Amino acid sequence: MNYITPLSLIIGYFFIISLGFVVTIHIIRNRKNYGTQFMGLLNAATVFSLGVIHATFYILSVVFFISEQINILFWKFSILAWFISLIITSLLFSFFREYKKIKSFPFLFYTLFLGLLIGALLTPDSITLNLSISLPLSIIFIDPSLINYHFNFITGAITIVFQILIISHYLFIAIIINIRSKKKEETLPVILNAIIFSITITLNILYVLFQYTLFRELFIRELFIIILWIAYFGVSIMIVKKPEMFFVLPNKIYSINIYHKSGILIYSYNFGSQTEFKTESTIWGNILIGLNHILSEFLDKKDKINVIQTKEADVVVKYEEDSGYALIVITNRKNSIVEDLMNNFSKEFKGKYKNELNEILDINRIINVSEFSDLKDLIEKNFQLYL
Amino acid sequence: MIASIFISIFVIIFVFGIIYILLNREKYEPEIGFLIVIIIYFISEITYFISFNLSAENFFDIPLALIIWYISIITRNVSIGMFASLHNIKLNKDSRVRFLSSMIYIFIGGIGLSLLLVPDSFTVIQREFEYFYLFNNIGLLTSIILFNFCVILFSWIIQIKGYHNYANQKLGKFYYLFMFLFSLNIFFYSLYLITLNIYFNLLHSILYLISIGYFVYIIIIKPNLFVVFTNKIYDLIIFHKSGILLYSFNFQTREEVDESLLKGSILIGISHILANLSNVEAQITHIKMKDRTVVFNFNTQLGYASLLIAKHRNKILEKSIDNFMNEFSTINKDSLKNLTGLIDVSTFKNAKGLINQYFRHFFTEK
Repeated sequence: MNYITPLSLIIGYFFIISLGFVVTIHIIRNRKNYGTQFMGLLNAATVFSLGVIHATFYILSVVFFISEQINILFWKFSILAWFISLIITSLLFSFFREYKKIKSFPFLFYTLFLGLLIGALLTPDSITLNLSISLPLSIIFIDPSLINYHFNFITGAITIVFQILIISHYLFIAIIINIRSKKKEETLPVILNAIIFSITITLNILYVLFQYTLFRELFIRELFIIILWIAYFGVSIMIVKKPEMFFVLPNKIYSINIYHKSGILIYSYNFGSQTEFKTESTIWGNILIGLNHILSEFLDKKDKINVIQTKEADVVVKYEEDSGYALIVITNRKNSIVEDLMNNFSKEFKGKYKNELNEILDINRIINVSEFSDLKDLIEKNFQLYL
Repeated sequence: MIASIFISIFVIIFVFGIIYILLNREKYEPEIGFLIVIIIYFISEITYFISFNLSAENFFDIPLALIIWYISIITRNVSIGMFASLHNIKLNKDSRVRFLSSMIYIFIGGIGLSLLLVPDSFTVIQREFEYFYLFNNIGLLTSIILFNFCVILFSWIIQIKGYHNYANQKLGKFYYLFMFLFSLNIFFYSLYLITLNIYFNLLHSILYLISIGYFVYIIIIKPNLFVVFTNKIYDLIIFHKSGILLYSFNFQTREEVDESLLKGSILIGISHILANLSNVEAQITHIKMKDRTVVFNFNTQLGYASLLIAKHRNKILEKSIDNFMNEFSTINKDSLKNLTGLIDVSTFKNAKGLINQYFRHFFTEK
């Protein structure tokens, strides 16, 4: 019996599972670096389900023979973990495109396919085990080429269609991001990711498709797991090294303005050349005051403006009534990442300029905006990822 | 025989409803996407009820009756899943997880659909003149019962939690009664599947007809149902670039707001915006607030703007505003162009007629 392949897989497995645990713990501990806690948890879930759950069930079902039922059960769990990992990864890809603005339609489809798969896996003979040696009496370490799983028509069809949909979705999102992005080089990791994952998924499709043919002998399944683990290693490094990639790509901040309650512009900071969205900073203060005057007569006084949507950008407003100023961030899309950064910045701003802000609480006092001229450092510190 | 009676009553209700809607189609202006979903929903309801009743009739041979029975199970899940999803999504509009209940229905529905493909899931029993279908596949029966349970549970939770979101309380009460009938007929359907007792079948069919009849009744007496399920307009304000308030209307009281009643702060606000109008016109589309949205519409040629305060912005609302603005510009073109000297804003009272014409669906119960 050939032991090189199972031993290599076992070594690879221990490497991947260790990496999976380390990266999952790293992401959970540093989840704030991923924009929002939700994004952090999604990343952790992808890493954990692929590197720990899927890898474990895969190894248990192809490198060991325990009993026919148990091996089939492990194989079914590995397929389920694979489906769930693909759905979570797809969700992450959607966030690359536009944070929290996901098209619900593909995910409703994926949910349907997940349900169909579970239903199919619950039926008897959905997957059968084909062992090329006589049935062992005890647990054995086995050459993966001797153990094969056959999908029945329904299970095979569900698996193939689902994976084709996932590949199309990944590639579609990667292409859209590339087309829309002005800095094409920034989108390269996403495109590479989509291509590598598509190759891996295609290999899995081929394994199901050619299960009854001679192509099965081409180690498609082993090739699938090797490429998957290499891709997994690359993505894990990227997730740890560049957490900001997950929210900077779809998100842009054009400028940050701080207005006194009288409408006077205290400070304005522009990101980059600001060619995409040109509006004088002073204008927004006037508009805001005007709108608040009108709306205060028609609406509940507590119901303040959260965001002004324009054709090109979102003007996100945060009022600090106690300190008498409003913070305005002009971005391409309002989301909780921007809101979190605004909250942190505002907190630090209030702390640092407490005395200056208290002095100008009286609307009749002369406002010396030069007192706030060193705000640049504070903004760059809090919004450094968008610089 | 019983099946024929049920199907006949069902067809009469539907035909009556469809004829009424076609004759009064100008009263109904749903979004096109929503209309398609509603049509699919009704088609699955029709298919379900007819196939459910026909599958019991023994004038079909067993294989054909079994196919009809399969159709009835699939369309039943599709129809109640669709109805519950629509209800849940519309009522849960501001929730972060508004699609969660729909995803759960789709997920369990998917499991059921897969299990339905298992051969020999049913044993067909013939008693007198009717067929009964005994579940051999317990997984399938469990998934259907679980699906029904989730639909009832989530729909009631969302109905109770989201009651305040209804555009008016009367519509909310209508839905309470409908939800009660809807839940009861699902309950008896589930009991019938488990016990195969003919009385549960009868109760389910009777309640089903009452529910559908009641739903058609709601559609007839509340034609704005598809437009203002949860949306509401509060105020419409029209002002000129010179800072003059041309017209203001309150949708809650359904009365014009007298200019003298508007406080000075509004005029200050208007002057602030108008000072920057040239910059704003090309940009601001709407403003989102915690519970409301302010939709802006500018007419730069005639130098005026409208500001509409509503609960949500949607395509129906935008279309109504566009139509209103176009018509308002046409009939007041001369007055707006010659707005100098002593200004008589009473000229613009004709806006009320346009409001009645274009925003009639948004008049909520007083």
